[in-house]
Amino acid sequence: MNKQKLAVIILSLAVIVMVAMGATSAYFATSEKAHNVITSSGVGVELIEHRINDDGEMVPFEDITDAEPGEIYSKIPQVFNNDDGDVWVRVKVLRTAKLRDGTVLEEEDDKLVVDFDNVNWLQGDNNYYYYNRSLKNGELTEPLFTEVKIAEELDNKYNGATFGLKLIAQAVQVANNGSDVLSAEGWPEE
Amino acid sequence: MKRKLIYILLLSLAFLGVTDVYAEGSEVRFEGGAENFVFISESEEGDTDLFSNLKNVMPGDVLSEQITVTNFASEYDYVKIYLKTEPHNETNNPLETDIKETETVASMADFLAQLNMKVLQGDRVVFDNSLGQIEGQEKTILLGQFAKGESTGLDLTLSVPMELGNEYMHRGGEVDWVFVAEGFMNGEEDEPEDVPGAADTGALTIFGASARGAAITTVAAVIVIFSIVGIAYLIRRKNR
Repeated sequence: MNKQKLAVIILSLAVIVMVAMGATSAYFATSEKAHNVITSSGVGVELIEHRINDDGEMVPFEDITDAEPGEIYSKIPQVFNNDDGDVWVRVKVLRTAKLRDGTVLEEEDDKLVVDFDNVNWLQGDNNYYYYNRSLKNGELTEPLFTEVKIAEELDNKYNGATFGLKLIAQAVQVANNGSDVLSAEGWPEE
Repeated sequence: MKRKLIYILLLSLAFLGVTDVYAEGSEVRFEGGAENFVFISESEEGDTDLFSNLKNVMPGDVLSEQITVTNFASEYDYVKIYLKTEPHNETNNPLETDIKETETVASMADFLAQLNMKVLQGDRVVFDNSLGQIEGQEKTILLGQFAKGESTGLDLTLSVPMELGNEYMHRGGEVDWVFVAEGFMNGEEDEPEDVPGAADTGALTIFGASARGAAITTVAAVIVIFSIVGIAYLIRRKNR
């Protein structure tokens, strides 16, 4: 075999070997970042009180002065869900009377008579009334009651007394919390 | 005419075959080339947020998220894909999303610490810890080696304790996951070396090509060129 042929064979083998070895073993590395976000929801309610004025219009409720026994006054409390989560709702109703001498009488339920809606609201213990269905974001409950009346027959001690009708609205999440309002847990402490 | 009809039919079938089919949940697609990684998500926070289902969580929630990771790159025989957690701090890795409007890194870490996340890749447990622990430490995990078209799935489960207090209402957390891809051709793999300017993330060097790999390529090219020139010269000389 002459030298030229030998050189051709060697060079050819060199090319074949280099290609077979996969000498182009360089690689590429790159990356990208994902910004993953987790958020939490919340619950919140607002007590809204209206009345029907002498013109038949629904207007914001204002304290009644110079109330007369036996007279019926318009007062329409409702609860509004102003947060993201669906909620169970309850309202605590406290009826008091502050006598002229400063004495405060509690549990004056029979002195301050209210026409509770017993269809949409369920009476519970400790003066709580529970709304019988869940309330979604942006929803308003049916009125808890619409009228208030000072009892017609009152002792003289109530002359000049101030009657108080205090309402406290509370809410807890519906999610993972019972199938109805009476089985819900986690109510705020009184 | 018959042959033409057959060609049209075959072309139509070919186009059907290349139609993308999107997996359920979020997706991480390694496209290679200029596109690099592409994130696909229905999150309102944008495509870079893969946690589209983990929003407005409530105490007691157990929520799921599926993330599919697929290699679509054609310029490599296969790629290795890694998942790396990247903790936040106020200087090197501050908050990027709208979370920064209401949270600091510290307050966000407190919120995330209340939540637990389990991440499974098939039967393999990738993470199972409080999100505070997952987000708080840098960890790199090899998800696998994928030829073009191959994929893997991550199944996430977020658990929110029923006892979560009111102070965690309307809170937010940002969890940064870095997806890293290394492309390879069939043959011997070269381990990456430190490259000036590259970000060293512990076990992995990113944003850099192997210097040694580039040197081998250059030498091989020179040998091939000289060999071809040499053979051509000898053949020409013989023919004279």
